[in-house]
Amino acid sequence: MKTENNIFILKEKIKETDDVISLKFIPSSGEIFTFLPGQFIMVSLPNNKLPNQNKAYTISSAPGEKFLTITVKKIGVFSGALHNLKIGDKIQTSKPQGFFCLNNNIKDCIFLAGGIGITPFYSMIKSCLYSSNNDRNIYLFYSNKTKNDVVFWKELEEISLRLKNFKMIHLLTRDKNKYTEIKESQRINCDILKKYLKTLEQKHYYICGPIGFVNDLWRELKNEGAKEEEILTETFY
Amino acid sequence: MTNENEKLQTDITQDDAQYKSDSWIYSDIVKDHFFHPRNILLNDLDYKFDGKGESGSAICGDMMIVWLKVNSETSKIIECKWRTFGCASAIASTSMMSVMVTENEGMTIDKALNLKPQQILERLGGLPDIKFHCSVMGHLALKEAIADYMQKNENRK
Repeated sequence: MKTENNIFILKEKIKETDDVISLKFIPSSGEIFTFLPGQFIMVSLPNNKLPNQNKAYTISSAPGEKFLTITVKKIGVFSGALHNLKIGDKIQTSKPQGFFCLNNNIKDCIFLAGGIGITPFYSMIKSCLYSSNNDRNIYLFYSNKTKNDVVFWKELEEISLRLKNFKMIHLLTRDKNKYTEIKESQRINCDILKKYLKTLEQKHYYICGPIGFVNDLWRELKNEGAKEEEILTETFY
Repeated sequence: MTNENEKLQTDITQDDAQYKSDSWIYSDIVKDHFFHPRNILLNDLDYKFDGKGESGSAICGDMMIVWLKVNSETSKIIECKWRTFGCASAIASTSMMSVMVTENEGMTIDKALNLKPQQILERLGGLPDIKFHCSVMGHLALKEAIADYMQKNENRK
């Protein structure tokens, strides 16, 4: 039985970075609804907390996991209210929405994440890890200001050891040459992509992050000859 | 005053040419689509459609509805109507979106599903970053309308 009215109860809060937390929910009754990795939900707060407001949050858990998880950066009143939720508090959600999802036929996936834009990719990568026959090649280019801003650092490192054909390149724009494991200290651009991918052709690009990040990369890839149907974008605003 | 107008005109021209997103000035194309919205549907009572999608919520400030007619043989969008309770940017970007999916004998639904806000903004000559979300509403409603059409089409098989 699927959960009624999409009411979820907060079971765990995990501090990911100074301003990002993951909130893990269970349904108030029944099971978590079916969703695709990369989809988002509209979240509202019942009980007169910020009435008539809702915001979109990507589901950062993968299908089949015990909890429905959203990972929230504190940037405004609504996200601040989510940060202040206590264990046992309830949220209401829409059904899962969005089309920023993996197509079954895609072999070479290039994920381009800016900051909290990692959330849909985290769900997708975990679902590939859980899949018994994943044969995709996945490159994750993950851009942050500093190492302290990197969400899911440890988890992604662990996945990279277990998921074959998964390669991760961290880019830190304000922590230049501080860490030996960080090889790149500039924003993602096509020169960086070419360095690791050799060619930009015959690949599918998924871009998620702040508006400027997504718009710039979309335009750059188009200028380099990537086809429109090979690029998917999602952004936060 | 004249100098100010000239400056504004220069800004608009530059905005068109460079697709700059940090300006607060609307391009001429945005203004044209806002003042003369294409494919708007003010009364949907008797409108027959193949797919309908909504995004946003009136109580949150913005709401968008998109109606589609699709040629089932070619899977091309032959009509895209819309109505919004939204701002100038939402009106202009959805108006442009409705043109883009119906021009040149219509866009296939597969292609329309991957229509991106960036493509719409490019055709509009850009929008300020702060108004980006307005351009997303129309294309979210479009995708919901396509999903609605696909669901109905599936049920008919």
